[in-house]
Amino acid sequence: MNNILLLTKIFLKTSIFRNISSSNQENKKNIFKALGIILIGIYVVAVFGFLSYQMIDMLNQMNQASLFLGLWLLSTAVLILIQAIASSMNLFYFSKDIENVLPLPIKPYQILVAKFNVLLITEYFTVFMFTLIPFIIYGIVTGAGLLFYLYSVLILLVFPIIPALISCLLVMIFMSFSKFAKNKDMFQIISMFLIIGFVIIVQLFAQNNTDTSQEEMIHMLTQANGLVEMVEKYFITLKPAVDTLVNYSSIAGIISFGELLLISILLYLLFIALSQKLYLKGAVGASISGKKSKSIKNEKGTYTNKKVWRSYLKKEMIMLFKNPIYFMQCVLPAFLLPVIFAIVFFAGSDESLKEITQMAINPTVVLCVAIGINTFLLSMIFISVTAISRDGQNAVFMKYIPVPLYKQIIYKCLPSIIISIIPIVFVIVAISYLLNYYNVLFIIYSLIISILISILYSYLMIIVDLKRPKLNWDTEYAVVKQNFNMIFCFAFSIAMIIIICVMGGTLANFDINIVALVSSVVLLFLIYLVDKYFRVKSDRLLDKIT
Amino acid sequence: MITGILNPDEGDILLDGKSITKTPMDAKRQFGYVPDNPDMFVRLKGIEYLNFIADIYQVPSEERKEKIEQLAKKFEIYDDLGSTIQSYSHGMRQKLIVISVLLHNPKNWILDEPMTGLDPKASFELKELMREHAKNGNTVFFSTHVLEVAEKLCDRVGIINRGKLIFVGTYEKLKEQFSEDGSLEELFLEITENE
Repeated sequence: MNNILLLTKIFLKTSIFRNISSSNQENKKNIFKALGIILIGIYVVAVFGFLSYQMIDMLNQMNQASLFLGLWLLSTAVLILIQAIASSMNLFYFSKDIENVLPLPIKPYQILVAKFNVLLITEYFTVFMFTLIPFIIYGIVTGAGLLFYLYSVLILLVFPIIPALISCLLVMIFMSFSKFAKNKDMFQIISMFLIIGFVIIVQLFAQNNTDTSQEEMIHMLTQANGLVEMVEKYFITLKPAVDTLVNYSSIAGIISFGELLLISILLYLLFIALSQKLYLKGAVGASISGKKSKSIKNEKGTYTNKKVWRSYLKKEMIMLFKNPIYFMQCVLPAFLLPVIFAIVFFAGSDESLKEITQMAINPTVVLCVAIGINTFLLSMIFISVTAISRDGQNAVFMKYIPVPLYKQIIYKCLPSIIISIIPIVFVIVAISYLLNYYNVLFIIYSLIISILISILYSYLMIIVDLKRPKLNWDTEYAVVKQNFNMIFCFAFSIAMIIIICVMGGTLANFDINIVALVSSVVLLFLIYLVDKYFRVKSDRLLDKIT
Repeated sequence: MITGILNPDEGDILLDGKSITKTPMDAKRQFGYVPDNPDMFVRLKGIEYLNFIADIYQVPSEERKEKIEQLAKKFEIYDDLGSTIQSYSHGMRQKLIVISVLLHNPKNWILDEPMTGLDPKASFELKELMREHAKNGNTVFFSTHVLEVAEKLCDRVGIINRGKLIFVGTYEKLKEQFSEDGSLEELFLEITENE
C-alpha cells in the first residue's frame, strides 16, 4: 500500500504537480497575470453556469429536472471515455518513468494501481471543472439540502472510475499488439482511431436499442422525472448515480450510492486482475521504435532546394503529424468532433431536421450559425498555442538561424490555419446538406469569414505561447495536457461566439452581403494589427526563449 | 550572445564585421552552431533535417549533395540518412548536427560540448576537421569539459569558473602566469581552487 502511495505521488509529481507549482511561482511574480487567469476562469464558469441554468430551469418547468443530472453525467462519462483514451495511452505507455520504476522491487499491480490513480486524479480536474458549477446551480434551482452537495462530491469522485477503466482496458488491449507493428507511431495513431470509433459505435448501438416509441415518450413526459429513465439506460452506473442525487434525503439515496460504489469497486478489482499481465507486456518498449538503418534513395528530388517557407512549413507539419502525442492532442479533436456530430445526426431520426428545413431560412442567421460552430471547433485545435512549447529546449533554434523572427512566427502560425480548413469545409458542407440549403453566397462568405477567424485565432494563440512558453518538459504529453495556456483558446472561442450570437440576433434582418462585408473588414483589420505587432515586436516576443 | 540566443545588456558583438544586434541575419550567416543537446526535431529523417538546414542557409542542390555525401560518409551515417532521427543513437544525432552545421561552409564554428557522445573514430574525425578549419584561417570556438581536448586542440583557451571568465590566452601564457609546468588539467585545478 505504501508503495502504491509513493508511486502515485512520484507519478503525479512527474506529470502534473511540478508544473503547477512552477506556474505558481511565476504567478507570484506577476499578480496581473494571475488576475487575468482568474478573470478568464470566472468568465468560463459564468458561461457554463448560464447555459446550465437555462437548461435546468426549462426542465424544471416540465417537471423533469432530474433529466439534467442524467444528461450531464452521461456527457461527463462520454467526455471521460474519450479523454481517458488519449491520457491513458500517454500515461501508461509514453511516459518514460516506467523504465525507471521497473528495476525497483515493486509488484506490477502496484505500478498499475498508481498509474491508474494518476489518471483518475487528472480526470477529476476535468470532471470537477465540467460538473461542479452546473450541479451547484441544479441544487439551487431545485432547492436541494446540504446533503445533496455532499452526495454530489461523492458521486463526482466515484462516477469517473468506470469510464476511465473502460478506456484504459481498451487502450491496453490495443497496445498489447504494438510489438507486432513495424511503425509504432503510426500504429498508435491508428489504434487511437479504432478505439474511439469503437466507443462511438457502442454508443450508437445503445442508442438504437433504447429507441423509445412515441406513446412511451408521452407516458414518461407526464410522469415526474420520467425522462431520466430513458437516458439512464446508456451507462451502467448512471442510474445509481442519478438516483442517489434525486433521493438524497431518504434512505434510497444511501442504497443507490452503495450500489454505485459496489459496482465501481468490483469492476476496479476486475480491471486490476485482468490488466496486470496485459499492461507490462505492452508497456516496455512501447515508445521505442526498432532500429533499422534505412539509406536514402538517390532519387532526383532528394537534394533539390526549396524556398525557406516551404521547407519550414514542411518541417512543422512533419513534427506535428508524425508525433502521435501531438497529433492526438493538437490536431485530432477538431476532426473528431464534427465526425461524431455527423454520425449522431445521421444515425438519429431526421424528423426534426425536416421540420427545420421547411421553415424559412434566414441567410444571415445560418451564416452566423456556421461561423459559430467553426469558431467552437477552432478552440479544439491546439497547434498555434503550442507551436513554441512543442519544440521544448530546441525552441532556441529559432533564434540562431538566419531567418527573421517575424517570418518564423508566421510560418509557425500556418499549420493551424491550413489544418483548420478541413473542419471548416466539413461544417459548411454538413450545414448545407442538413438544412438542404445550397446557397453559393452562404458557402463563400462562411468559408472566408471562418478562415479569417482561424487566422486571427492562430496569430493570437501564438502570442500566448510566446509570452508563456512551456519549454521544460520531460514528456511531450505535458505540452498539451498540463498546459494552462489552453484556457486562452476557450476564452477566445467563447468571446467570439458571444459576438457572433449578438450579431446573429441583432443583424438578422440585414442583408447577408453587408453583414459578411463588414465582418470581413473588421477581421482583416484585427489581423493587420496583430501582424503589425509581430513585425515591430518580434525580437522582444522571443525573450522568454533562452 | 554570439549566436543571438541572448540579447546583450550593452555593447555589441561583431562576427566578421557583421553586428549580431544591428544586422542579425547577416551575422547569423557567418557562423555554424552546434548546441549541446543533439535531440533536434527527432521525427524528421536524417536527410530531411539536412535538407531543411540547407534550405534555411540556401545551399544550392549540387553543393549540398556533394557536402552531405562527403560528410555523412566520413562520419559513417550515410546509410542511416533515410531513417528518422528518433532511431539514432546519441552519437549519431551529434554527428548529424555537426554535418548540418558544416553544410553552408561557415567561416566561424561555434560548438557547445561537441565531443559528447561521439565514438572514438567520429571524435577523431571531428577534431581533425576542427584543426583543418582553423589552419585555413577560420575560427573554431568551442566549449569542453575534457581538458586534454582543449590542451591538444586550442590555440587559445578561456577558463570559466562559476560564470566568471578567469583566464584567456594561450596555453604557454597560462603556464607562464601560474608558473606551473603541469598539464592543463593540473593548471585548471590550481586556478579554480585559488579563486
